[in-house]
Amino acid sequence: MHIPDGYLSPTTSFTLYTVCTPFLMKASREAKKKLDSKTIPLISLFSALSFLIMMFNVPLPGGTTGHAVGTVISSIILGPWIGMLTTTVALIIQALFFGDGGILTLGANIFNMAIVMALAGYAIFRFLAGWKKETGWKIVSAAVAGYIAINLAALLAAVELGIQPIIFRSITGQPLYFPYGLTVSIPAMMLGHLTLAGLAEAFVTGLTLSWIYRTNPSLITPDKKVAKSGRFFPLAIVIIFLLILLTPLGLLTPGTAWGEWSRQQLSELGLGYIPAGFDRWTGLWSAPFSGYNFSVLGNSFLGYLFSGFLGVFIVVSVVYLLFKVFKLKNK
Amino acid sequence: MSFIEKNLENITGAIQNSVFSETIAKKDGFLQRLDPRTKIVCFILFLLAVNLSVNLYFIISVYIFLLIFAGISKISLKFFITRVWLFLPFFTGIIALPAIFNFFTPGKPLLTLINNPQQHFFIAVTQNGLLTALFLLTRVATSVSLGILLVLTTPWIRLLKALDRLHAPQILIIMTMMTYRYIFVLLETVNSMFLARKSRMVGRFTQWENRHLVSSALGTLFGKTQVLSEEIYQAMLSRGYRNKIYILSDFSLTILDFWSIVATTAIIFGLFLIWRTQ
Amino acid sequence: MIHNNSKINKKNPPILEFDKVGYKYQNFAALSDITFSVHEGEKIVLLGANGSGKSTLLKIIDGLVFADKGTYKAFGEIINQKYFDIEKKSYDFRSKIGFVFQDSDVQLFSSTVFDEVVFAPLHMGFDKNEILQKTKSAMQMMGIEHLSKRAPYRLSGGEKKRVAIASVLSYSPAVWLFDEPTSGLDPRSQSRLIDFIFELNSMNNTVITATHNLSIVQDIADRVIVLSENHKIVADDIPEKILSDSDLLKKYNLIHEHIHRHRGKTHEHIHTHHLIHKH
Repeated sequence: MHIPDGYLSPTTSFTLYTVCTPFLMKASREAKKKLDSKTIPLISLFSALSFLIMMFNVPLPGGTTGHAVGTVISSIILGPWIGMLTTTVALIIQALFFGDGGILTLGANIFNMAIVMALAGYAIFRFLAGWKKETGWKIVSAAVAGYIAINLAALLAAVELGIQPIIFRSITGQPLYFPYGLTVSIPAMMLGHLTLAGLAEAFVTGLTLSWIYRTNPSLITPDKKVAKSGRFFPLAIVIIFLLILLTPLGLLTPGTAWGEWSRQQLSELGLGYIPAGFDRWTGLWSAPFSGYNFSVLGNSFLGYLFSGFLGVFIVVSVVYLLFKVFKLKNK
Repeated sequence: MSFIEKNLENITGAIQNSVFSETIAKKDGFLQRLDPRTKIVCFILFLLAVNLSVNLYFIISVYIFLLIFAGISKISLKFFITRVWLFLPFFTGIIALPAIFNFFTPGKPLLTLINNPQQHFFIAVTQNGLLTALFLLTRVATSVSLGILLVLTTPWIRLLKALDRLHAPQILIIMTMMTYRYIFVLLETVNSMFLARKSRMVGRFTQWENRHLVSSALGTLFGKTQVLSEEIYQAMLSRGYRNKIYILSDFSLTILDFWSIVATTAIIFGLFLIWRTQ
Repeated sequence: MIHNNSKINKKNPPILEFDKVGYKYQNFAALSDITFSVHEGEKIVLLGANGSGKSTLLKIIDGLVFADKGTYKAFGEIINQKYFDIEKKSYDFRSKIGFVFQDSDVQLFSSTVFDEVVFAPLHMGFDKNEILQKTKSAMQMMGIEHLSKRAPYRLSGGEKKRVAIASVLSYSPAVWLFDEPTSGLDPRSQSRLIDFIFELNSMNNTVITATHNLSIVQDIADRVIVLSENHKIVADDIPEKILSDSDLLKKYNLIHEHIHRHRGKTHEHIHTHHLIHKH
């Protein structure tokens, strides 16, 4: 599910980096609070475990491979904020020190595999686990949470990839980054994740939890905290849904202008390939999402900035709400 | 070969790669002499240029420059090229391939494979399709090569120190440092666990044995994880660690670093100017 | 083996004092009712079977875990979590006690041997020249200068141990704690280590070693404290007395009678877990 560099336009990458920032800031704060205990090494070990889990590739139909991520089990044990931090660190190491995955796309990968998986996985686990007290049920809940969360992450990755050809095409019309639209990217991605990779995540999550129950139950948050999670679940679903909407929205609506603007910038910077007869072409080109029209540039740019701020505002409020819910519950 | 065995090989490969890349990082080449901060800046400039570019020749030219950089940094070109191009076809290649045909990317046909007008059945490689696939492949290959160049010529702790100096959040630096270290402990554990297991088995693993192996491996790994985490932290405390990381500063920017950034910018602009007039 | 007990001045107050210390780990007792004290320059072995709480005792001495019951005093001050809140006190205590862990992998977390050895002086706030000088001399003493740029976790077991020791030596603590120092080492590295401990002690350092390896006890101890499997001190005496008391050793699982069959014949002998018995 790692999106390498070259598959996403820098615009998409940049947007996703921005979306990640408040989440990671909150997560770092959470981790810092626990610095006085032995949490830091435990977190790092979960990251290492996540790194290793991501190295274990399962063959998928069609010749590609998929893998589990391990975010859900760390969120169940360490909480969703620290859980997302563990996978983030694993992804940073893969991208930066092993040259695996991408550096511009790191934001996208962190968003899909760390942030969304941690929040969704944790919410689903809490909701399901609150029903019954038996250990067996908790393990099943964890496995189901793992399965759903990884598929959510895969769906997001598919959407991020699938919107590339819609937004970013050269003047002659060929896609510049990932070449297939949503109709191809979503089924291709989901096929492998609904089957093998999803099962792998379910397997890793359930198995590790059962192992913890058997050998070190003190690691698991006491039942009290898990019990009344009914209120949390609907909110969590809304949040996740918003998050999913946010990614394409933040790109699609202003994307036309953004893409255009960046090309304009490029020519100013001296980067892009700007043919002599460019002005004639602009009039001819009118793909639905690509209004190559310089006259609206100023307004669309403002529009983009506005929606950008709106996006950040939504994310911050979501985090704030989520935080409130957690705080309430811990009392 | 079962997927477990394949994974085992990958894991061993990762360890070896890492060992190998550290030996390259210690050679006395051009990129090794640069301050890691400079390298990160130049790396990001190139990466952005490659990913923003809408000109295929521009991307290919940057790749050629990377080959030159690899050469003057004492990296075997054969290794540098094969490390990227050996794996690329399996992942990006498979993804890029269908895009060359008219049903994914319509356009001017270059090579007609099937043309049956009666049934409206037409398959051809299109000009646009070929361009699309080439764009993806070259962009990915050049981006990956850039990453490899950075990793190969910089010992990882110096990269980490550079990130620290560039004001990356300290908590991430601390966690990255520890995680990186644990990865090796865990990798070695997994490796020896499977090798021990394998030596006791004759022939291939059955499906059930595979599953059983993975589950017991996870359990053992997790156990190791916990014991390690407590003790490692204690060992750090014992030697004066107080949740603050200190790094001995041994970075110095030289005139070489200044010229490297100038040269990077010049190369990017120069290449643009060349391909603009085409 | 000559005991040089004369250099220990028992008239001075002890540097470490345990008064009825108890400790629980995840609701299981790990130590109970531990009372003893240590004087400067002593050479002590904590002897006990696996799980008797030797390692935990060392960790309490080093201020890594804290007693649940009773008090532990080091250099005249009560050591608890609160003690370490003050940075200066914390550095002062840490620089006086050094701990060499059983598993070198646990202790070696830096990316190069140099970073490992420099870690303690760097984090204890010495000035830069002192840091470099101490690091250099520690590496010289352990003969690991040539490994300086290597990654610690890619070294051999013996080399790892030397790096681990150098990483403590770089801040020259007065009290040294060793946890199962010979485990996993080849005989040559073992004897080197024993020489090192001897040398440390002869420079008036206090050395406390936790082990179940009887063959090294005489070389590294002038006092042996035996821990039982229910986590109490059951004996505290000179090594000769402890080692010759086979009933005691048998009772606390430090040796055991071993019955097995050789070509149809049942055969019984005392088993010490160790083939090499060195004096």
